[in-house]
Amino acid sequence: MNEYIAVRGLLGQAGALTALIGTRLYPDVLPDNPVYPAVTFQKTDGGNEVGSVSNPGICWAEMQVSTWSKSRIEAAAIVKAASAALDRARLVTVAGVQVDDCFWLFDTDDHDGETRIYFTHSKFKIHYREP
Amino acid sequence: MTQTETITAQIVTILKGAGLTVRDDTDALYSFEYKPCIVIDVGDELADPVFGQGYIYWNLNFDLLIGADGENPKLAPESTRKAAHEALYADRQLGLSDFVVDLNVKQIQRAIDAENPAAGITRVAYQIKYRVEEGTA
Repeated sequence: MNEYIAVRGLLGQAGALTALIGTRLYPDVLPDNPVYPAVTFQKTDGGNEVGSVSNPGICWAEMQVSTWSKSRIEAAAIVKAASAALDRARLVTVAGVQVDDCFWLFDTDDHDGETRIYFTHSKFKIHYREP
Repeated sequence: MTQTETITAQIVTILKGAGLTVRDDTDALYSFEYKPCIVIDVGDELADPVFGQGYIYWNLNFDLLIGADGENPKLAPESTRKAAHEALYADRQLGLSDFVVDLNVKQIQRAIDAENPAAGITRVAYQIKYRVEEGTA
């Protein structure tokens, strides 16, 4: 759960991102009848270090941060702001969660012809601690 | 307790006595553990039998995996490596002179962790020669 807290904390405290999406930052899915632009985030993979008889609480997760917008230019600006908030967030404590480091992995752009929404899925790998 | 277990425990005691963080519960460092940290990787042993005298001389290999973070990762573990080496070489019989004959350093290898680009990992190979009576371990 700490990975969600950390990512939400890092994105939520990024002024440049907040200026673009306000508080429209959601775990997993957009709400019904969403207002655009907005950002969602979800875990797509994860694991932890393993010791001989107990685990040290050193964890990692791949997090997908998805940007949803009616404009590609606007989406690109949001992706840039989100990436700046997460990429290489190193040795910081966010909302009580220790983040050891965070790496941007890749972006995938796409467009939904029916809703005319542009979106980008950005993948990050975050290393963090569990109690 | 075998002599190998006794020697390993003594190495841990010596390194901790030098103020170093040491563990031996895995054979590798974690990418993002608190550093500097040393992992003792106990390796293989090769016997030098002394025929007719009732003794076997064993050559025990062990590695110190020394991890430290720094802007120059490959050299970040150097101060810890120095402290560990000096602590071990302060008494090359490790305080176990009744059966440990000698300690020798063999090789140093340096790398950067695959996950943590700031973490340097230095592997220092040592070999300890110790003696046991035939029929004991």
